[in-house]
Amino acid sequence: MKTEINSEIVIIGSGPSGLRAAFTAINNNLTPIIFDWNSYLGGILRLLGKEIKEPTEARIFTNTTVININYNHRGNHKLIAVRKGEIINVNTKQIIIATGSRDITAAGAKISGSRPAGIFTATEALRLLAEGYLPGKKVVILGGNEISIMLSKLLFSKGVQVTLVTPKTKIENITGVQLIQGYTITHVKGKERVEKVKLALSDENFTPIKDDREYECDTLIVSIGFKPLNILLNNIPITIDILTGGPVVNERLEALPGINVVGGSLAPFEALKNVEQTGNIIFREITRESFINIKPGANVKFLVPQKIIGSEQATLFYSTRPGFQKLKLVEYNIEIPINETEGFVEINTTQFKKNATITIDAVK
Amino acid sequence: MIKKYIEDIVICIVSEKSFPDQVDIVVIGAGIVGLFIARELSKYNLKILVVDKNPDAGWGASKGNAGIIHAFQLPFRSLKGKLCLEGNKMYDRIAKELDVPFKRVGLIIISLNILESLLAFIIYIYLKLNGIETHIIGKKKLKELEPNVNKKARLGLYLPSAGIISVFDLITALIENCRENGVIFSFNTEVQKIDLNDNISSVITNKGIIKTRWIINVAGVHADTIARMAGINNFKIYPRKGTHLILSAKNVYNHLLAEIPLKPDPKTKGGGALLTIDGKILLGPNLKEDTVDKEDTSTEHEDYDIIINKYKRIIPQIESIDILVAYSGLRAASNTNDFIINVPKKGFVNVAGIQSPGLTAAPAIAKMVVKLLENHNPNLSPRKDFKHIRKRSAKIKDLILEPENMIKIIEENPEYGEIICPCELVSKAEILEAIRQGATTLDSIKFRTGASMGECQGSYCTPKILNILSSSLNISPNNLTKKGGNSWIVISHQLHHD
Repeated sequence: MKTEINSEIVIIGSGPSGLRAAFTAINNNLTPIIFDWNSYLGGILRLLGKEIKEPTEARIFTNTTVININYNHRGNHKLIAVRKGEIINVNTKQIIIATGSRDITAAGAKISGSRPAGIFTATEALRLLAEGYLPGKKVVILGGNEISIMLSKLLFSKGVQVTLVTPKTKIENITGVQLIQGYTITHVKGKERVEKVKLALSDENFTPIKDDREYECDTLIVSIGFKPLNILLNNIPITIDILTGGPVVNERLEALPGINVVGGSLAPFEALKNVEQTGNIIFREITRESFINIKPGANVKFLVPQKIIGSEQATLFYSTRPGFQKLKLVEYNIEIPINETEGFVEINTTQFKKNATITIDAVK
Repeated sequence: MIKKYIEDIVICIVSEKSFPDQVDIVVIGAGIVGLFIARELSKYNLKILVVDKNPDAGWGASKGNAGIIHAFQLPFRSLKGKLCLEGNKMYDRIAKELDVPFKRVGLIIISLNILESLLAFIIYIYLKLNGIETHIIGKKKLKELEPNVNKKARLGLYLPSAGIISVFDLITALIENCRENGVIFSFNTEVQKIDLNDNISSVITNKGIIKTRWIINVAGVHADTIARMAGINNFKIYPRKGTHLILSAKNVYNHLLAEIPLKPDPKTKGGGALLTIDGKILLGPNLKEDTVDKEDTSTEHEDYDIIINKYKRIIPQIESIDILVAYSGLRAASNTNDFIINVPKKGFVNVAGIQSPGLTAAPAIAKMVVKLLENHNPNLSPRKDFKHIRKRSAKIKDLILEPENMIKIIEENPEYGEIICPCELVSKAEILEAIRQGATTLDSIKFRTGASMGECQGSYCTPKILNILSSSLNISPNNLTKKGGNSWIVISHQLHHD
């Protein structure tokens, strides 16, 4: 079966940022088409059991995989998707990439050892739960971020014995979950199934300082952070930002004219509210022409957007190293207070020269 | 033919006795070398059985290597040196016949200082004298070819004959082609005892006794144990572990890259900043001499820093790229530090000590084994109906740039239009095909289809693959394993707090 669709806007992925982008498109009087590989809407929101508001004005295709994007400079992009054997050809003017992120793996966390069954990432564990499977009986989660805490609670509620190992030192107690704070995991033992993990005293970045004890378990779940997942952009001439691991974008989150990238596929966000917020700004109005480059300072982990092409306001997403209270626009000597290590602030861009480079750093 | 495979597989799974009572040849070990030997022997009128103790083929050194087709191996006069050159030349044809992705990307050996450059000239002359195509490339040309190489690089030695092959695809292709040519496989079959006789020997396994005229010992790290069962005690295998890292970035460089070995260690072998067949960065392998446990393929925490620090000399930016996978393999090196390929007693062939460059040499090893057998069996008769060509079953990933063909195969079989692994674009049809070919574990599906080998490492597709395996094999998800034994994956019911 073949289906042909002409559309103004296609959104690939219906997680928190894709759904938000759909509502933004609808508010702009557009009828978005939403494709999702999952059999449901909502992505991680659904996996975490959160309430999902469905964009009823959108045309929704679940169980659908976009296989290829054929980018066209004149603005008529072609896209091929499949849904259980049905082939869907789409012509569209705008594509929103909201394919999300992937977890950093055990190897990405520099965990060594054998490679037995029972090593999962957080989203893999959430997906297993959604299919009615438990990842193990005695689970150790390495993490400390929002997702790892929600996963701990979820696993405990299913009767699993859960230990959360985290390098952080100020995590609030989670009912039923054993907390091991100030630690990371360096090594896995077990030939066929996970049998033990090695704990080590750790700094805030999961870097081990001193080996400690072995800890018995049958499962290790790694939840130390994310990386943008952008397989569909492989054949499109975009520039990758080494700090975000996602594409370089402007204040409308465009990687190229007509291709916006939002949420986890844009940058390794840890907090869902920031992921969601990216979906709000895809139609930011451009009123003048500028070529402003944004340069991250040493205390910044990443900044998005990386360039500003001419809106009067821009939303700046930031992630800083721990312990800073302000963002500083170095060349303009402007300071903006921040309360978290990851978040977003509004900046007025009319105060900048048209082709300025602005260094933004975190300061105390 | 397919029906026959399924019968074979079903027999393997359900019955204790999964093979005929008597064959002409038993190959012990279904690694790359064993498979090449079985394929070469299947060109003759022989009844061949391949046994392996693992649930699927290639689970020893074959899956733990880097997939490099080496340009040369020192010393040139050694058996491994000779077979490496011979095998290297055979790969274009093999890749074509077996329809396996293979690229002669070439190797560039890079010098970073004056001393290394001097040594580079000596290596250049030495390689030229030994007939290895080698070119010196200057700083400017090197920068043009590989812009991300360390700015200090002075010159490079370019060896165009080095290549990369998809080892997993090669294993799958060899099994399929062997089966097509009548070779029988029995997995989960461990050899316990050998009763060697001049005419008919017996191989005693956990699945029963096989009578055979010849035994070919290709048991990798266990080759010395198997030889001892046949009363041959003249060599020992000392496994040498090598660890590899796969990073998440693609196309950072396009050639295999290595350093000039300023302090050449005769036992250090070929590690480099390498590539996977789809262009990902593959670093390593390093070398550990003190490996004792023949099953221990674990990595050590220090491996990460040792490997990254070594290769950031060549490509500085690797330090900031995310690591996707770390894995080790065991080189089945012998006490002679060379391949041991001989007939110590009539009815028994040793193919042992196959360390690096075993993958490169494998097709040449197979030719050599056939010659050895011909010497003892002058009336080996070639088959007229040997099938050289194996066609790889359709993969959606291969058809991204051919939308017309893709649409055609999806229309023929809608299961191709159901994508299970979104990172590597593996469809349900491909997973079902792997199951038809005998995959029963999660790792088998991974190695045979590429599902879960991509960016997310299975975070998305693992539950879906479990569902497919469970319903196709009619096994409860609780009883599915990653790699056999006690490697259970999930529990499918809610637990309750006491």
